[in-house]
Amino acid sequence: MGLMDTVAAPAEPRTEASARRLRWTARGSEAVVRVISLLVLVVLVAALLLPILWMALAAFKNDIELFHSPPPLLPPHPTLQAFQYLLGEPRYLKMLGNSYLISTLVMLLSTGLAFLAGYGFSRYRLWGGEALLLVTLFSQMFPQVSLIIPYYNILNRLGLYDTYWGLVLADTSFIVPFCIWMFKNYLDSIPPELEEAAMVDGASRLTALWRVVLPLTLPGFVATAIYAFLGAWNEYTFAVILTKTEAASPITVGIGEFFGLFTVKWSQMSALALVASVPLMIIFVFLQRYLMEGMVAGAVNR
Amino acid sequence: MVNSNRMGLKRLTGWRPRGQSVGYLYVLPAILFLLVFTVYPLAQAAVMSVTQVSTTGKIGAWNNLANWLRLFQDGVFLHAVGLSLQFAVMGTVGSIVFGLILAQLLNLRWLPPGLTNLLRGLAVLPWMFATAVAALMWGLLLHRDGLINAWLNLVKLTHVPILFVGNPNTALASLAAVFAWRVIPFIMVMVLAGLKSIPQDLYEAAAVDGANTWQVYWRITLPLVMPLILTLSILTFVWGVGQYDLIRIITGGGPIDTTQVVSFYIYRIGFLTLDWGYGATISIAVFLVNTVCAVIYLYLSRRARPWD
Repeated sequence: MGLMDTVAAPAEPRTEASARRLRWTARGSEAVVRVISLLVLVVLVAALLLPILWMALAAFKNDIELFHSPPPLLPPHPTLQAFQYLLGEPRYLKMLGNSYLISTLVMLLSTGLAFLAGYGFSRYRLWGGEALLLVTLFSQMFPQVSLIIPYYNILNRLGLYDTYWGLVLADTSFIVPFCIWMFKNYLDSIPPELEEAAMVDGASRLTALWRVVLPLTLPGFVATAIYAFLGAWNEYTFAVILTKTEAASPITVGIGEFFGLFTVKWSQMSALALVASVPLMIIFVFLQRYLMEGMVAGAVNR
Repeated sequence: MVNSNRMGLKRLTGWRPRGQSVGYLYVLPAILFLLVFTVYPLAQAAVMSVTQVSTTGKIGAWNNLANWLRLFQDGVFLHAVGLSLQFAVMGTVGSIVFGLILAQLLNLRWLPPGLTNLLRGLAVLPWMFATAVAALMWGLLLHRDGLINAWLNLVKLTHVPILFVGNPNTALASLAAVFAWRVIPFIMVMVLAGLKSIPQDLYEAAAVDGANTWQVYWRITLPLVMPLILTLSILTFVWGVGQYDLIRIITGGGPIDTTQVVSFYIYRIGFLTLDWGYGATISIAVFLVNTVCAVIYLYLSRRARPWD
């Protein structure tokens, strides 16, 4: 179309006014397109956020307001009753504590194992290294549910069923492969000359790793740690199968439990979900850059 | 780049790295961990599928592939496979379409960067919440007296509230919608990274040649992100097939088994009927199918690397 315009233009002499009008309509139609695109974009993002917002508001309503027709958008009489209910249920507080403990352990274990492995894959040419990396990448596509039966069986026999450690090990096995990839990719972007220079100056490789590489990897470390922590924090499949009581169950199991009850306590459940999303909100507000970085880095496969 | 620098350093200093085999020491802990906690359980599931397993999980004698033969005659299983495919296809199409649209819109050049970053940051949120929390959010929205029904009623589209997750006709589609909602941000971020990596001079060349917006989109943008979209589709499809938590929380396989997808069937056979051997057989079958998908994915993703 553009070609046609440039060819056709000289054939018909234009007056100053018609030229201006042409330019104006062109700009006008473009403005319309822009307004529409922006509108669609904002509406789509708002639609994505609606469920989140609705839940957050639900925590401050009572169930009558929640399902009143038409439902009031903002809580007409904001109340903290749902949160008070949670305070009276030590069970959920215990589960919250479990979540923090389990996620922290998974984060430490995964980043530790993955940092070393990522360093090995990045700095050495290992026989079979490429294949090993592919196999770890493959775990990204691997349904957790296909492992629940053997895991349940093994943990039962080891006496780790319904314990923190059972769940930590299961979670880590799913989270560590991705972390290896993230570290490998990150370390690939750090020139090996830096640590080599340190070694030329007499540092051992481990000292160089600790003093030179680790500080440089810090942003990658934060991104990976967030990935591991949130992965464990949000995990449900393993948690609900491999734990049974509040002695070890994380908070996701507590939220899921509400659905099994005959009368779902919606506002209480929303309050619990809101409380359970606090780490996510903290990360989101303060460390968003790393969050996004981890999201892309995880899927990068060189 | 890195390698040539390294060569330069070697030439300059005469220093050479020690034996490459030291590298195995770094890799070893993680590999051992994965051997024990991923490969071994998988192997055990494979063994369970071809042996007689007691209700307490004790492995017995060879079972003449009884479980595998049963698999292909099990109508409930085959039905579950169909449901899984439906769920995964609906979820994949939904998330790819909306993820793509969002990425395109966020990539518009005339948008102020501050606004783009803000919207992108917010749009990522559904991906970050726990499945259990996502299930609750949608439970509230899709409730008989929930917001969606109230709005549908308000604009007079419906007179009787729709039981989204309680109705056999809509339950699976509702679950797929929730799944898509969670995956859209991931697709969006990935496609956006792909779009940003398209060399600017291609567009400039097209502009010089007088191509209009649609021509540029169909001839340049879309073909260049197509391999990426294909890769993301396979990934999403595989995730969809493996989806368990969302379904367990929201419908628990119901109503009348209309959302009993394969992953939920594994749970039912194993944990509710205690037929561990048969449950393990289905697990391994799902694993094998996913392996095929993974190989295709890996093959394709080696070509689609917009991030380089």
